[in-house]
This record gives sequence, C-alpha cells and structure tokens, in this order.
Amino acid sequence: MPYSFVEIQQSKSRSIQWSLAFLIALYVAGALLIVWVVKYYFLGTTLDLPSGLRRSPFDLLDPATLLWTAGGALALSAGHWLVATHALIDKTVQYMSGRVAADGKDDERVFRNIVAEASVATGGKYLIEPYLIPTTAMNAFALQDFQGRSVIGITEGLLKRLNREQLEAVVAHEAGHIASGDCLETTVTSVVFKAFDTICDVTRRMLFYSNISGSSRYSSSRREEKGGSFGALLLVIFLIALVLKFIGYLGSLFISRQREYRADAMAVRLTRNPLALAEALHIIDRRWKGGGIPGEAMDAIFILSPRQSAYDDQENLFSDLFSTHPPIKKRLGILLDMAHARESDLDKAMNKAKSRDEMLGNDPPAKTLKDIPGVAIPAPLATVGGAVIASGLGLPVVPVAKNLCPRCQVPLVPEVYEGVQIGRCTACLGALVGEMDVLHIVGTKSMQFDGRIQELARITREQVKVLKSNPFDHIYDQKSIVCPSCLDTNRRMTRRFVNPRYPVEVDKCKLCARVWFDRDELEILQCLYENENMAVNK
Amino acid sequence: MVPFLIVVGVLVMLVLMIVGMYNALIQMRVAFQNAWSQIDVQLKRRHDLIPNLVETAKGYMTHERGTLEGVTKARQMAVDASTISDKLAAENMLTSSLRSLMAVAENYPNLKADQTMLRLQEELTTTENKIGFARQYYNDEAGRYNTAIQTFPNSIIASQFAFKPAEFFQLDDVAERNAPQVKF
Repeated sequence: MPYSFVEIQQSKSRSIQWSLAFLIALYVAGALLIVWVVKYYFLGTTLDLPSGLRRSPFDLLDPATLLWTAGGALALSAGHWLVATHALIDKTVQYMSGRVAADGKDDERVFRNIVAEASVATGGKYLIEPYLIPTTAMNAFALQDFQGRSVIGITEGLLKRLNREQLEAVVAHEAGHIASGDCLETTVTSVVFKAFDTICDVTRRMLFYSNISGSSRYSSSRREEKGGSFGALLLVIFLIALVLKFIGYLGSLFISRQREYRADAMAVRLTRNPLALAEALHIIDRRWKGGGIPGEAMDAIFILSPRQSAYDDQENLFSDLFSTHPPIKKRLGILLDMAHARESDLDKAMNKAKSRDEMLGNDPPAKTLKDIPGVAIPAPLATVGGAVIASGLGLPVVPVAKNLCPRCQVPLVPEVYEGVQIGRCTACLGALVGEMDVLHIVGTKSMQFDGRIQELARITREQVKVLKSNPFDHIYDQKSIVCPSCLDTNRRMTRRFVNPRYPVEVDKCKLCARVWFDRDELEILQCLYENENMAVNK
Repeated sequence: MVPFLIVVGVLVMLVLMIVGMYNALIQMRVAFQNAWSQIDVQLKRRHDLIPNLVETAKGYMTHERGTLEGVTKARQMAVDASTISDKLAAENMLTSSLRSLMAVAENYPNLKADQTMLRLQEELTTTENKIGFARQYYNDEAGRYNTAIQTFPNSIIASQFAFKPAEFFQLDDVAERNAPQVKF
C-alpha cells in the first residue's frame, strides 16, 4: 500500500491489456463457434468421407477456415475496441446527459473548487474536469482516457444533499482512483463491455414492447396475424441477449473490488477526515443510487454501485469475481475504525434522517390518492365546441391530433412555470413537462404550498414504504395514455414513479422523455422535494 | 592486456552508475522544487484575496480595527518575505491572524449573511485547502528526495555534488482539521 501520491503514481497497475486480450479471445471463440454451427447444420457440410470413414466434427475447421475466421474476428474486435474507446469521455458523459459544473452558481462553484483542490493534491498532474449529472439520484464517478484527460462527476442530488466536508471526501475518493491509474482501466473496461449490455437492453426492450402490445386488447388481432414464428424468433433473440448480458458481466472480472478500499484510503490520506467519507457513503447507500438511469451498466465507475445486487454484500470467490464493489458495511467499518467511531455513532448522527424513514413505515396505506375521501381529484370536465366532455380519469382516449390533453382531448396551452415552458390542460389542470425540466422545476426554490397540497404530499409520502420493497418496479397500467407529443399508440406512456424517493405516480413517454402530471401531482412533487431538502440542509 | 581491459570496463561501469545516480537525484530535486512553486501559486492567491476580504469586513466590523490591521500587516510581511524560512514564519502568522478574523466575524450576523463575504469565505476555504494539498504534495516530494540523498550509495554522490536536504513545509500549530458537525 503506497503512502503518498508520488508513490501511488509510480505503482500504477495495468490490466487493460488483459481485457483487450479477453475481448479478442471472446470474438475469436464466438466466430469459430458460429462458423462451425453454420457449416455443420446449415450448409450441411458432410462428415462422411468417400472411403466410408467418418471425420471428426472438428475437421470442419481446416487451417484455411481457422485463419480467415480468426482474422475476421480479430478485425471485428479491433473495430469494437476502437469505436468504444474513441472519445470515450465525451460519449460517456453525453450518455448520462452530463454537463460541466457552472461557475455562476454558488453551489456548483463549490464543487468546481473542490475538484480543483483535488487537482492540486495530485501535484497538478491531472487537470480534472468537474461534471454534473442532472438527476436526483445520489452517486459519484471518475473517468479517464488514454490521453490523460480526467473527469470527476457527481449527480445533482449528491451536490444538494452533502455538506462541503462530505463532498471533499467523495471527490478525494474519485481523485484517488485517477491518481492510482485504476480509473483508466475501469473506464476502458466498462466502456468496452458496456456494448454487450446495451445490445442486451435494446433486445429486451424490443421483446418487452411486443409483449405489452401483445397483451393489450387493442392489438390482439395483430398478434394473431403474426403467428408463432415471430415469437420463436424473439425467444432466440432473447437467449442471445442473455448470453450478451453475461458477457457484459464478465467485464467486471477485470475490475478488482480492492480498488475501492484503496481509493477510500487515499481519500482519508488527503482529507484526514475518515468520518466525512463514512457519512457520505452512509447517506449515498441509504438513498436512490441511480439504478435505472443511463450509465447504470457502467456500475464500476461509481463510488457505490447503482445496481442493487446481493453479491455486493457478500465476500466469497463468486462475489469477488463478479461484483465491482466491496460490501458497504466493511468499507464503513474500516473508515469508522480510523475515526475511532462506531457504527452506532454514525447512526446517531443520521438519527433524524432515519427517524423520518421509520415514521413513515408505521402503517403504509396501500391506497392511491384517488381512493382517499376529501382529497379525491375531481373528474375533468371540459367544454369543447359546446359539447361537454367527461373523459373520466385514466380511461384511454384515442388521440386525434398532437398536443391535446391525453385525458380530456383539449388543446394544451403553453405556460411558463418556474421559468420552464410546459403544456397545461385548461380543463383538468394536468401538465406535460420535459424530463429535464422536471428536475429544473423541482430544484428551484418555489412558492409556499397551501394546506391541500401539503396534505396530499403527506399522504403521498406515507406510501414510500410500500414502494421501498420493490422500488424499481415500473407500474404498467392497462389504461396508459398516449404521449400527446409523439402520438404513438404502440408505445404508450408508462405509469411509473418519478423516483422511489418521491413516490408521485406519473406517466412517462419512453420516446421523447416527456412526463405527464395529472392535476396537483407536479405541486406535490415540488412540495415533497422541498420539505425533504430543507430538512436535510438545516 | 586482459587485466587492463577489466579495469577499464569497471571504471566505465562506475562512471555510468555515477551519472545515472546523479541524474536521478537532479530529477527528484526538480520535482520538489516544482512542487514548491505550486505552493507559491496558492499562497499568492491567498495574498490577492485578503485585501477584498478586509475591505468587505471593514464595512461591518467598525470596532475591530486591530484585528483587521493585523491581517493586513501579516499579509504585507508574507508578500515581502524572500527566504523559505521567512516565508514559513510569515505565512503561519497570516494563517493565525486570518483565523482570529474569522472567529471575530462570527459575532457579526450581518457580515456573515453578506453575499460578497460568503463568496470570499468560500474562496478562502478552497485556497486554504489547496495550500494544504500543495503542502502535502511538496512534503511527499521533499521526503522522497531527502530519503534518496541520505541512503547509501546515493549519499556519497550527494555529499560530493553538494545536494542539500530539502526543508519541509511545516505549520506551527498543527491544528487538525476539525471533524465536521453532522447536520441534517
């Protein structure tokens, strides 16, 4: 274990060569398998010799075949490698919709300053760029490419919820990754093997959508037309996707869990503040770490894995191989030992936050807002061309034109709300908001909320325990609405929670990422976020 | 003939070894001098911040002439200092006078709420941190260099070519960074 940054930089580890070799081997093996299968089963190359003897099946791969297959696979894997590692930082950051932290805003400047401090701590050898990911999730990551460019990124949720010392500790942890060089290998390995994961995701989504439309009553006739062969094809695709997913996981073979302990140790060496890092890890661990957002597949680059995996909490050979992060309990234990503190101290410090959670868990009413008397949302009524339309909440309406309210079919009126352009239905007071604009609205300090909104927010909050048991379950509603902007009846908006922390049920369009808020839902979300953040900051 | 060749070979080897060791020491010396200049950059930043800080504080702290003048004076001394040991002493004085200024500022709620003051305070915090990190890095490099010139056989070369040990950047009061108050 090196003790200074000078020594850390001298003892850089390099396992990138191994992941490149593995990639090539994977391609070659895959190509050989495919060639053999094609030759044997599809081209019907015979194994019977004229003399009546049978050749061994492996003879199908004669030296010439071997040569061109291996050559092709080599070229393919080289292409894969080059495409994946070209401009990898820009691509990755763009993938997560990241942006450079602004100098003009006070809180973002603090983050810029902290990253600049980390740069100085490495002897000015790395000019680290500060990036922000616009999401309420809590996580942090570091990226580095072959040109020596390095980036430390955090989510906006993290920036809002941690104090300066905790942020310093998190950034120092990421700087530790960069200085020791394991950041480069993590980034490259993640990016290279992410491709398999992405292919798998896309296939799964295709499969999923066809299932959704298949079970929906609108397309049942279409399903019969397509017949069974389509299903069989999907099954094959799904199996291939599973294999690809597994290959994606294999990428983590090259990422040691130990590097997290090392980066923790370096963070403590820099900041001399193990308690702040322990607090930060504890806070991140207890909140939404970003499962489901773009970039989740690259879980190795984050300070805590956004994926919820049982392996992360175990210590055995299998976990060591396939998990990218060590158990959080162990990391916390080491840090607390350094600070001469116990886990109970940490818990005590977090007591307020904890009691909030527990309070809510008493008897979670598994009701939706609509079931609660007194706060029931009135059915929207609208007058269009002299005729009164009462669509009734949630009933699917066949849309006729773009930019009509999906509930009432009244034109959406553009409105500037908290400095953001939204579309508002004048009849039911629902609102169509872009995904990024939701974050902006929620992040802006807003007006006072009246008693009704407060009450609605309280009831919504009480449901949080129900959601916690299975937080990432998206709720797919049979009565899902069609996105007014895309008007694609095959891909209806999905009913889901804004995020597990803020269990407001909304409809989200997967195509254009716009979110439909029914009446009051936007205000409830704002109110929830504000209440929570005020409590955290004070 | 053969003994002669052996002697020449050994001599050439020895010269090459000495050159290699000498170059390694020079590299380390440049590294720690470079690390020192990094501290200098940050110290200069702090010097530039202080007049603004004093100017902003003056508007609110009418009864604290002494403290403010102390900071200004300490800054002037730090700017004027030329040798390393002078610099260390002056910077330590500046640090402690800034600390007392910040302690006094606690009594002025209006000053604490002032936007300019808040920004300056953040700038000061980050500069102090950078000084700390640059100091750590310098001490690492200086320690490596010092170890190198004192261990055998480098020590022979170091004494022949007058490599002087590097001075560590130490603070008088090693005021540990306070553990943060947990606030939620």
